[in-house]
Order: sequence, then structure tokens, then C-alpha cells
Amino acid sequence: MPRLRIGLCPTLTQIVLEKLSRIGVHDVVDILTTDAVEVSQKAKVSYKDVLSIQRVLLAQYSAFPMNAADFYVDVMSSVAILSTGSSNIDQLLDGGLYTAEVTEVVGPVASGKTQLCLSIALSVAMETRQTVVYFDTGSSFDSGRLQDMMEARQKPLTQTVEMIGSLIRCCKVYSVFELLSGLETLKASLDDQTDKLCSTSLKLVIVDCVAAVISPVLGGFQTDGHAYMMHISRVLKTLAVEYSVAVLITNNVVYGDGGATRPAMGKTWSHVPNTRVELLKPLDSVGELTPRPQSHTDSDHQRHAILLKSDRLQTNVSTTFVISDYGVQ
Amino acid sequence: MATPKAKSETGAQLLARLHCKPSLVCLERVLLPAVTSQKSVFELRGEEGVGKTQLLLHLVANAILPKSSHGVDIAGLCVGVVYIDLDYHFSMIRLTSILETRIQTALSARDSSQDASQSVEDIVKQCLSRLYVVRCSSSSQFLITLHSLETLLGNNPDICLLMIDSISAFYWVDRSTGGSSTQGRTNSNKLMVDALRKLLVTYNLVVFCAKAELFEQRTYTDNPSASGYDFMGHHWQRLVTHRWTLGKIRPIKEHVSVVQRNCYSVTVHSGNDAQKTRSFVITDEGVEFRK
Repeated sequence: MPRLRIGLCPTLTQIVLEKLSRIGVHDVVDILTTDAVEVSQKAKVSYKDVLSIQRVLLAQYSAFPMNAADFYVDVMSSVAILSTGSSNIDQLLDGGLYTAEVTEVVGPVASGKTQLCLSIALSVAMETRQTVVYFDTGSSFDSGRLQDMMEARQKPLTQTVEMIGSLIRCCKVYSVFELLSGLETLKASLDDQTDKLCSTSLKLVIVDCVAAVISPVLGGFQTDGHAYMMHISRVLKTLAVEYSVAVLITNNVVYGDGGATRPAMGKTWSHVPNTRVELLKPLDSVGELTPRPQSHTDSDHQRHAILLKSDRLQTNVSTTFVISDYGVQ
Repeated sequence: MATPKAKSETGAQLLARLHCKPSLVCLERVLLPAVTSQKSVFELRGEEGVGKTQLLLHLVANAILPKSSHGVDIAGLCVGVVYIDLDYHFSMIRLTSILETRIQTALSARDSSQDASQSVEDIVKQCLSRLYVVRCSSSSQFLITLHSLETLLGNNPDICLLMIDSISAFYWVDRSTGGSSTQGRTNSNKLMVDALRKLLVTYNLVVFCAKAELFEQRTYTDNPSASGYDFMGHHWQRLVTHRWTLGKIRPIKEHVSVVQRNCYSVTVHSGNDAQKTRSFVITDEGVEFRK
């Protein structure tokens, strides 16, 4: 909560400030939640001054109610749908990743989460020439794989590897604090407008995998971990909504009662994303162990994707995709 | 004691306060068959993905749609709504598609003139102009915004609904920053509840709040009275007048359509132990209750 200080508004002088702090009114919330008459009587500050301070601070610190008709025009002009590179997944998500939304991909080990992220990053960079920022928490970002995909996708090579590579920025973070500072730096450079590449064309932020940095701070009886987690969720949502960016995060699964899987990081996090997609290996879903075939067949690379949660679409719809040289198809 | 606040209010504010608010009868025919009394606070609680935001958007659509247009009954209420989006889950695209479908269905029943699409868009825009969306990024901003809403409510007497999605958004951040002690947490909660109560009493509002279930449901077998525990604190608990619990229903039949596959339930708690449960599906027209 911001503290009261000189310069916040013209009537807030040194004398008024001292009088207010004597009666225990120190910050903006204190003065706004106390009745103006009470403040003026106790602090011996003129009623008019208190009212004018309250009015200025209200305007400064409150969120502005936006008429939905204007909001609609804003949304329609700023919303972009980013293709994932796989027509089946695009269909599942009604066109692809929407800007201003947080999409979460959950799945067990080797279900194709990172492959999906890399493939989407490449599709966005190649097709729309927009910037992608990739936060990598588990050192799973593989530039060699990215290059292979790039070469498989374009024959002959029309766009140089360097050009595409410069559009995808990878940022390696290994703790919840590094992730937070990375996200805040990104926000600052978006505000700054001097970083041309970022401010004009950033369309996608990927965090792979968000549970890797948050899970270690959760647990026990302390609440700080949850606060860090919610703080990260706020920053991700603010990025998405205020800068019209699509945010894609990946999450692990944990096994609950009876072997049922659910997204990691608990109940509080489960409310965070706008859209959640679960990835499954066909073997897992059938639940029987078949001997691994010697040759790599198509079915070996096949994965299921199920839409678990969405603000806009019918859920529990599933589709399949294949991990190939091309990325995901 | 007469407060100087009342003395200094403008004529417009006075009218907004004393003005007979439009009736909220038929805001929701199934869940609220009677007139929704003013100053009620509804709490919609449930896990993730059970349709809390969808139910709120459905109520918003019911409220802002016009009563009729071009001589066709659309069955809206034509009242103003303020939507406070704390979880950033409000989807403009979804709301407009609900409005468009509802209007189209109503209009197509009458005639199929060529400029139908144009008039649908106009009606949607008129509907949206009755809705105000506020997004807050921290609990102190939310609190200050509640105080600042007086201006908006004073200038727009037709606003009679306030939606909050969701009230538990800042719970963990508050718990670790402001209120390390239970006392501190209760105080910050009390400020929020007081501000909200002042708004709804002064301006005769009806409030609908989504509340995310942040904790595992525990069953208190040894102490049934403890099951009434509310992690939002007792100030909040006292403010709420109606509780709706939302949940998912597992499909019984395997081969049903996509829409029927996702069935949800809402339990309306009223009085002591009396409750009734209705099931609903989410369609293009919002929320559809099943018999």
C-alpha cells in the first residue's frame, strides 16, 4: 500500500502530513477508508482539504471502470490468434493461442510439452515474424532441435536461421526469483519502448516449466511460497492482458488418490490459467504395458491432447497430434 | 446523526440513491424464480472449471439484454452492471457471442430481413454500453476502487448489479504480506467488506461473487459446526446472504454430444439445511438448465 508523502497532491503539505501521521493515518488506504469528518476532527485538518486529498487519491489509485462498448472495440482491434503449427491443436483451441489469455499445457514426463512449446515458438516466429520470449526453467530449450525443425519446414531455405533465431529469445531461469525478475524486466522493456524488437512485436511469452521453480518453494506451514506463486500468476496475467500477449506455460502432473492425475501446484494454481490442455501419451491412457517396438513407428510419436478448461469453448474435447521432424503436426 | 456526506451530495447522486431501481424479477428464471431482493449478496463457490465465470456471464447477459427489440421479445432486463474482474477471467469474446446468439435466436423467430446482421450488431453495442468492466491488480487497488465506484454508481442510476470474479483472488498475497497474523488479515478483510456493504446499501445493489475453492474440502465428522468455516473470514461470511455451490457431474452415458458431455450442477443453499440442486449445460446461449 502506497504511503502518504508530499507531492501526491497539492493540499498534502508537510504540516498536514504530520497531523495525519499523528492520528495513525499513514498510507493511502488509511485515509480513503476513514470517514472525512472523522479525519478532519481528529487531525485538526480542514474538512475541505481532507475531501480534496481523498478525491485526488481516489482518482490516482483506483482502477478505471471501462465501458464495455469501448472495451469491445479495444479487444476486437487487439486480439490476435497465434497458430500452433498443428491443425488439430488449432482446431481444439478454436484457432490457436489467443492473446490476453494464459494457456497452460499439463502432462506427465515425455508427453510432448516442450516439443509443443518449441514448435509453437517457431511457428509464431516464422509465420508472423513476431518476437517470442522463452523462459526456460529446466534447461530443456534445445536450439539444435529448433534448427532441425526450421530446416524441415522450409525447403528451400528462405529465411536464415539467424533471422528466426533472433526472434526467439531464450532466458534461462533457475529459481522463482529469477523468473520474477525476468518477467519484471520484460515488462519494463515493454513500457520503455526503446527496445524495438520487444515493444512492437512481442506476441508470445512461454514459461517451460513453471512448476519446476514454484514447487520447491511450496509446502510446509509457511505461506510465502503461495504468495510467490500468486505473484507470478499476477505478473503473467498482467503481461497477457495489458500488453496483449499470449502466455503459454507448462505444468507437471501429480498423482493423487487412485492414480488419477491432476495438475501440479495445487488447488490455488488450478484457478489461474484461462485455458488448460492436458497432453497424454497413448500408452498412459490405455494403461497397459506393451513391449516397445524396435522401429520408430508413427504411433510411438502420437500424443493425445484434451481440453480441460476454457473460458470460451466446450471442454473435454480431445484430439491427437504427432511429434515429427517438423515439430508437432 | 446526519452525515455531512449526505448534505454535500449532488442532486444526481441523491436521485441515484433514492431512485426506484428497476425490478430484478426474472434475472434468472430457474435459480431465482422470485424477485431478487435488493442488497442480497450471492456467493458462487466451486473448483476450477465448474462454470463460475460462465454463470456470471450468463447473469450479465440476462441483465444487459433489452426487454424487446423491433417488437420481438428478447427477455432481458435492460439494467446496468459493473463487473469487477480480479482474476482476469472476463472474456469479452465469450460475452459477445452469448449476446449475439441470444439476439439472433430471438430475431430469427420473427422475420429474416437482410439487414438482420447489422441490427444484431447494433443491439449488442447497446447492451455492452450498459456494462462496465473494472480490472484490479492488487487488493489495495480493489479496496480503493470500491470506494471510487460511488461516482460511477451515482451517475448511472440504472446500475443494479455488481459482479466480482473472484473474491478470493488476492487471498494468498494478502495472507503473506499484510496479515501475517490472523488479526491483520481480518482487518483488511473487514475494510473490503465494509466498503462493499456501504455500496450495496447506499445504491441498492445485488452482488454476485465467484469464490474459488482454494482448499481441499474437509469433512468434519467429529465437529459438524466447524464445516461452516470460511477461509475468507467471518466478516465476509456475514455479508453473504445466499450461497450457491457449483460442481461437475460425471456423464452417465458414454455416447452423448459434446454439449451434453459437460454437465454441471449448482446447489442453492437456503435457510438451514434446505437446498435444491439443478443441473445445467453450457451452450452458445449461455447457461441452459435441464429439467
